[in-house]
Amino acid sequence: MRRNKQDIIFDMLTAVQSKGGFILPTHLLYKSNLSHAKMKDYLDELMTKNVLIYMTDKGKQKIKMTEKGFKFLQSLRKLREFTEAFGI
Amino acid sequence: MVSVIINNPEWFLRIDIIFAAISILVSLIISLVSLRTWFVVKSLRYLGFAIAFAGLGFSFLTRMIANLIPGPETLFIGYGLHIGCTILALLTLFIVANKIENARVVLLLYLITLPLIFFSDSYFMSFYITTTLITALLALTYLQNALRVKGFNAICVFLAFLLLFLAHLQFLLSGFRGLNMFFISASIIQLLAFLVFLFAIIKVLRS
Repeated sequence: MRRNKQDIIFDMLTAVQSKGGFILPTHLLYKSNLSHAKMKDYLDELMTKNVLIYMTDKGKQKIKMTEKGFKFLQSLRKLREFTEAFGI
Repeated sequence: MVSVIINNPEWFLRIDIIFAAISILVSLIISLVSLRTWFVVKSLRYLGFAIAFAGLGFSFLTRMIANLIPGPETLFIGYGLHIGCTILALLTLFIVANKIENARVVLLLYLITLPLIFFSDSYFMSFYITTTLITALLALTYLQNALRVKGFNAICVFLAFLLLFLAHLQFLLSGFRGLNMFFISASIIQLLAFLVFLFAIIKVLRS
């Protein structure tokens, strides 16, 4: 089934959360099942909105989910639950 | 010509007003959640869903006012609006739930249904036959949704639509001679349906 923008962002944020809030860009690329170009587009948008930020850990660049990101993921989860339950 | 026939017993009118108030509240909550989702997602489906539940709430409000202020005019306008809003709301729910996006099909559904009821000789029978059919199809749609999603909330929503169908079937039966007590059981089942909706939406909001 084709994923919409909301599904893709949900999958990306869930992938970051499942790794404790920090993830390597290559792992995110693999887990979110996107092309490099597409992932960059989504990452740019999420970075602009301060949902995700770049950070350096032991010399490696990682992607970190912000407090706003965790709240946003929680809202997305509710939205998905509402959409699925009410078949919208 | 619309002819208004009311089958609820006199003593039940006040109870019916309380039932309607609860249904209005639940419809408003679901409508507001959907409207808030529409502001985030900008998908017309959520707006349609919000309008449908707001329409259901409004339909209960008009019936409640008609029961509160008795009189031939308020009864005629109140129940007339109740019929129109209920049909429009249920049809909109059917269109959203079945993801019908062809504008001509949507227009056809509205154009066929409403005039048929308002120009029929018996508003009661044509209204409840239509709502029974739509709610039966809605229950079927939500059964398929519950089987696909396999979530507790989706099962609750299916159960609510199934109860709504059973309620409308009994409203229809109450129109037959000697069966008007079905009106009370139908009203109770309809209230139960809205309470299940309330339970499902609370579960969603607390997830």
